[in-house]
Formats: sequence, structure tokens, C-alpha cells
Amino acid sequence: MTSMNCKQSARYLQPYVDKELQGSEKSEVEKHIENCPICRKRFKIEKHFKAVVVKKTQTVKAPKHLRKKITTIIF
Amino acid sequence: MTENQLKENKESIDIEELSPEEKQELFKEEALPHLNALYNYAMSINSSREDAEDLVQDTFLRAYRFFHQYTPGTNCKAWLFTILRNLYNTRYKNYKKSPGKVHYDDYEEIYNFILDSEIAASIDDPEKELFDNILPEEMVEAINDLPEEFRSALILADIEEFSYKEIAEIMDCPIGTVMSRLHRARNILKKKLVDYAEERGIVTPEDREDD
Repeated sequence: MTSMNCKQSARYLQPYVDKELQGSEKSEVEKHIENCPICRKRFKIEKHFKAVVVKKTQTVKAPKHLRKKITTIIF
Repeated sequence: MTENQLKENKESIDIEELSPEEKQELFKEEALPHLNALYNYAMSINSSREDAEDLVQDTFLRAYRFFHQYTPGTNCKAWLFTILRNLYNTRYKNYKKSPGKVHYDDYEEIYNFILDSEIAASIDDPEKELFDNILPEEMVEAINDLPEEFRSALILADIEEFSYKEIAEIMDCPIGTVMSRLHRARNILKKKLVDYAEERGIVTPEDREDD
């Protein structure tokens, strides 16, 4: 792979944050982020944004009656 | 087989050879702990609580019926989510699989939108602080407004922490489609959250110090 440009790097930032890149793709993105202040900024946005989604998304618990109903039917 | 042996040798268990009691025990250990995650996901793709509860209940009944097809020690959560998703797709017959080719946003455009926004200009470190003041209610609303397939990709990746490959299996689509849905979901969400922040007004440094 020849050296990655900003346009290519932008495609890989989310998969990189999601830890889905391996091998040369991963090392090319890392190299590009290290050398390019603009993409470093974009990477920070992606990383922080993912953390915010996780932090601010409230999850709901299954109601007790549902758990009871399921276990009663199955067991 | 004792309970301890069950735990130690999960991968070599042939569920079809278990006694009914052992099968129940294994199901309780492997499948039931994922009830909350399944319910949470079901709530995010169904419009009513009743539909979500029905979907989760049917998922568990089906999982128990086909439990012999599950390989103990493998990812039970992903297996259950795949069952739930299949049931959901069958139930909503008008559910249309998106075409193979998914429209890609210009990958770079979103960053310009964010960094050129008024709200970004008002804070010192926009890439770190921009979304910090988002309220949980705004996040819920913004996620619920996403098209269902985008919302699913986002929740499965960020909340349930499935890999792209697992999401592709759950949603029965290619990995490339997962990636583009996720990309689109996050970009729509970012735009919306920037809009919310701007509607609420520019955040001043004093406001942030109060947090």
C-alpha cells in the first residue's frame, strides 16, 4: 500500500477506533495520523464521539414479569 | 455431569446428549444472562413495549428449541441476537433489505461541518469537548430518529460491542454494508448533536466550569 492520503484516511478512522483494522491498514492509518494534524483532529473527534455515544446512551433493563414469563414457559 | 464439569468442559458438550435438567442448567448459564441486552435492543427497534417483550420472549423460546444447534463456549450473545433479528425480519414482512450498494457520504465532509460550526468555534478543544454537554434525552431522541438499519448498526457496535463480522451475521448483510451503515449512522448523529448544541446556545467557558 502506498502512503495513505487524507481522503483515504477518513474512510478508515471509524474502523480504526472500532479496533477493526489489522496489518498494513492499521499501521498506515497510525502513520498517517501521526504525521497529519488534520486527520489527528478527525481521529480525536471519532474516538471521543464513540465514547460519548456509549456514555450518554441509557439502556433499559428487561421487566421482571418478562423474565418470569420466559423462565416459566421454558422450564 | 456435575455443574463444575459443565463449566470446565463447555466446548466439548454435545447438547443433544444432555439430560433435560442439564440442558436447562446450561441454558440458564449461557443464554439467560443476555436477557437485558436483548430486551434493550428489542426496545430500540420496536415501536411498542409489548412488541419488544413478545420479540424477546419468542427469541428465548426459539433459542431453547434449537439449543442443540448452539456450540457451547462460542458467542451465545451473538447467536441470540441473530435469532432475534431473524424473527424481527420475518415478523415485519414489509421489512425491506436495503440494496447491496449503499450510498456513501463524503467521508471528509462531516469533519468540516463539525469544525466549522459555531459551537466548535466557541470552545477551546472542539474535538474533545464538543459533545460533552449532550443530554442523555437528546442522545436517545437522535438515535431513535435514525433509520432502523443505521440505528441497529450503531447499537450493536457501540452499546453491545459486537465486531463488524458479528453484526454482519446478525443483520444478514455483508461487512461492507455494516461499515457504511455505521458510518452513516454516526455522521447523521454527529450532525444532529451539533444542531442540538447550537439550538441550546453556545456554551461559555463559565458554563463548562460548573460541570
